Amino acid sequence: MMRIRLELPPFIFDIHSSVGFVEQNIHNMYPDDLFINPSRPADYFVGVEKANGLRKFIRPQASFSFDAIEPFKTLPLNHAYASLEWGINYVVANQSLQYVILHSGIVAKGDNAVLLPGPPGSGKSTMTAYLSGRQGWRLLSDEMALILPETLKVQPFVRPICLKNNSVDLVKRWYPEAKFSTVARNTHKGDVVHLCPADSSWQQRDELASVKAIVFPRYDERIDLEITELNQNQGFMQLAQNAVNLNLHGQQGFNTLVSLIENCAVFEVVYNNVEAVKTFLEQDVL
Amino acid sequence: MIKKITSWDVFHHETLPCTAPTVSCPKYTITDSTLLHKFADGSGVVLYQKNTGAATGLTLDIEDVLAGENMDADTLKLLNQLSASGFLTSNHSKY
Repeated sequence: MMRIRLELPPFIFDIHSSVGFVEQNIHNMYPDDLFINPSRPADYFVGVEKANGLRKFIRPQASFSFDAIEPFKTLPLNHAYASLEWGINYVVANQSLQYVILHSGIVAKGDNAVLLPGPPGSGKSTMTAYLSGRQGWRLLSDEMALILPETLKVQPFVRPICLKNNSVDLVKRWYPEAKFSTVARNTHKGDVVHLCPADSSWQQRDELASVKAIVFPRYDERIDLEITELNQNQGFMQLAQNAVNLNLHGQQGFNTLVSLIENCAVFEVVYNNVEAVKTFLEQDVL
Repeated sequence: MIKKITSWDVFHHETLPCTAPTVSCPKYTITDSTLLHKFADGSGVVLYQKNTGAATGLTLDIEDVLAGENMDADTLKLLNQLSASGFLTSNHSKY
């Protein structure tokens, strides 16, 4: 059975699993220097184990746990690694009250960050994967932006990028040398593969960035690039819909969102050409 | 995720055709737990109910509306909606 302590700034996770390919994926996805001495205290204790019961003889299942609580239904064993990654997202989103958390991809060029909020299927992970691998860019998070309350500062939370369905082949064509996890087939999101971020993202995992722009992406195969600048009211409402724990922060959370909207350029971008989006961000926004 | 009322309707309230006659209505006030922010670009205001996390954007100046004596049926409908969502409270007892 695997039991490791993984430092994923700003948190330390204690992770256990008896599923062989989960351990292989973790070692494939995370650099060696993130595996730390088990004597260091962990923030969160998570794991994914084979589920017991008669069903294991017919259709083996895996179950995610957090502090010995199993918050979700069991999933097919094949989904074990993906469910561990999703479980970590769940834990951070629900427990890390020191941040205003937005459901958003976030990348930065230098210290200038771009928020990419959007619902599943909007293409935010694909866009995040593309941008974070380009020269000068880095990943802060694929799934959640950890904003320091009442500032424009964002804390990186670098983890593998979750790719779904068609975007997997697309990203493999862009980055043939990159490391990918095993495939979790037929999940509720479709076929899922995780992508290991580029070295530069891991190296800068402790460096905060300032949000300069908010881009709501929407992939549309018929449209090369269509950019609409949103007014502050529209931007606020769209951003609020992607806020995970705004109600827990009261006035401080509200002020944080207002500050983001009033100090950043806000766009809705419909695209099928990721390079055109990158050029737009580099030349006109950052 | 944040709770929200039908913000699209509310958002475009200003552009809805108003054909109904004006009516007198009960007075509404913004509740103590509602935060209000007017955007610097003139795009309107946002209301945030800090107890529930509900937020809604308005293109009209809600403070002017609340100060008015008479209003059309659509505006009254909007105020009722905002009241039901906890942004406003009605002072029915005064009437």
